[in-house]
Amino acid sequence: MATGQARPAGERPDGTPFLVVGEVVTALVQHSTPLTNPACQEILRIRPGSTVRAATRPTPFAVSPATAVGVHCTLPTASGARVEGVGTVVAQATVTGGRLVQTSARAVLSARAFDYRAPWSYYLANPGLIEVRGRTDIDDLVRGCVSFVDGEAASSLDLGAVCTRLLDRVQRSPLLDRRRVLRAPRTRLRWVAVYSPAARLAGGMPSGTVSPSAGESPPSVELVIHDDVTRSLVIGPTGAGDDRLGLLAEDVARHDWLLSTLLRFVDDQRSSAHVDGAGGHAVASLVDLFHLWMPGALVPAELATVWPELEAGPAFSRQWVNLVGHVRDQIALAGVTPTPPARRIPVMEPRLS
Amino acid sequence: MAAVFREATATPRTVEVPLSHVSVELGHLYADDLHDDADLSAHFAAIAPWVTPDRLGSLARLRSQRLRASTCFLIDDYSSPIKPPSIVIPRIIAAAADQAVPIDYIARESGCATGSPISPAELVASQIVPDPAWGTNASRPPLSQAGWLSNGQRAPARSLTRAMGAATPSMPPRENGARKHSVFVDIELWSEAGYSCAFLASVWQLVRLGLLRAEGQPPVVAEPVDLASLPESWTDLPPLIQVASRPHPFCAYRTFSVLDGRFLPVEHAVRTILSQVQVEPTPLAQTRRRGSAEGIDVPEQVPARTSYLFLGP
Repeated sequence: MATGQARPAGERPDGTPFLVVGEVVTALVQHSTPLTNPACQEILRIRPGSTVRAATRPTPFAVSPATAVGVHCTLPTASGARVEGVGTVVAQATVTGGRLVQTSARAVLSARAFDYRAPWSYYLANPGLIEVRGRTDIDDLVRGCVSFVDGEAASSLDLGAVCTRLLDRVQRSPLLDRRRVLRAPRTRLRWVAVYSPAARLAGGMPSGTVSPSAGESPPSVELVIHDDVTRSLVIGPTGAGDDRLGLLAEDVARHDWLLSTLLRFVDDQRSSAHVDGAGGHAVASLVDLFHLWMPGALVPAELATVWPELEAGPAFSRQWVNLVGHVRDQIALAGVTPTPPARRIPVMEPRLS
Repeated sequence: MAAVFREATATPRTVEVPLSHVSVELGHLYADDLHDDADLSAHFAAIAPWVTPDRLGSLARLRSQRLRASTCFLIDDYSSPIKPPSIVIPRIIAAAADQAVPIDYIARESGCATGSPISPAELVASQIVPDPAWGTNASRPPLSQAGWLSNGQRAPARSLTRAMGAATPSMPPRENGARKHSVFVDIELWSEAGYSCAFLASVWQLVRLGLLRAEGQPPVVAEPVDLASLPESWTDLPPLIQVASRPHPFCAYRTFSVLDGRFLPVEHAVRTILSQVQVEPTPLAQTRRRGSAEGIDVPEQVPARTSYLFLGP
């Protein structure tokens, strides 16, 4: 939630926050051309009377108001141990570059011994807080939250469903023509951030209130690509606020999606079976995504170490630059040789360039 | 030196509203209570002893601050037609002034239900986050009965129980977070006939608490009117009018409603609704910050900002 304001000390909820869990679903906006920023604001007005934040730098983006969803259920654990949580999940939708839509849900897990639930108004006054009852093994919860095993407990917290419902709602906007111009996957990234002991000691909801203490080492990062569409990200230990961690997860998900989409496009081009009649549109739509590659540009400074780590390992940007170069070469080749390659990667139509 | 860059549209502004310490509602009357022979003086005479400055100061948790209290009265022009403002409003103002409880602001109930481009009621309806029963894991949209809101888990439908066999014991409804025993309520928010009294009364509380915003602006703002030339039609009257010359602000950290005991079930419904409305975090935080700046602890939870006195006959 947009709780940018710091809470005065002593007025935080009781309990100890220990984990932030979230999920991000990323997809292509179902529209034949990139949306203007006013159009993005319109499709993201998911609540009447609410304001949609929008900006043009470093890249055009618009963010829907946050909505809360109430939950009272078990939480996923790797061991199957029963852990119960009650509170709210906050979710919001974002459109970047008028092309790429993301829905994101998250909650801070906080341990509090409670016999009876607090009045519901307490949870609504602390959006994005889930209070956890029972003996909690943090590692067990972390592994449970990022697993994508078949037949996972159908009754435990389902952040993905929150994201999917919100995404479907945005994609159903009457402003969209729902034309599929590019074969692009709808990816899901589940993420978990573990709070450092210092942040846990500070107590309360660290919504932008806990700054990493001096000398705290940068958080470790583990990004796993499970299959074509599912990814998981584990960050920690950290003292960053849940809203900032959400921005990081969305940034990673966005770039992973861009890379996955480009990879799929190149794959499709290689297997002629997948080349469809809308080739020109597809190339134009793909080129529209090139300028969105800006890893870390929207990530808060306290989490700035995460991208360099990802670049040092999987070398996202090098792969992206190589693939973009490859596609541009193909386009150039298609422009000079009206032979088979041109059929496989048609020249962009001038009105779309 | 770090560069500062921001875009104004990236951080939308939420307008702050002037705030009193407490907003006092001087009773409520149904449309049919306003008939020609009704003794309005008796209504205000019963309320007057309970809204003295020392009582209000204690209710507003003041220590040494100078009390800022405003009084208001909500006229029910929504549930059934009543006589025009030019007749009703002067009668009410005079009766209250006679009992030394002058009215600062008058609102018409239909002003909560209508409005352009969005009515306060629509705004509140879009902000309801139902209290989840055990087992709610967000995999499906919140179980809702269109137009109804409860504080727990409804009893399963009768046909379902029957289908499961006659031996199935009946399952009672259950209040969420109940302490051993339930006080379950199921509230009708609206129907084809319009919004319910309970729902509009919860909208009215949120308007008085200054917690509603549409596009960052308060949806209802008090407008001064000339009492000598009141309109003949309620729709020609602004939703909220200022009738005193220099009153304290209409909105307040806390509300206090002195009501006839027959309104108790409605107000239980109001508090149940208020506990399931997710108000915008910015005005919620603004009111707390402004309160603490003048040494007043404003409760975080919305229902905790409302106080009541129910009077017997």
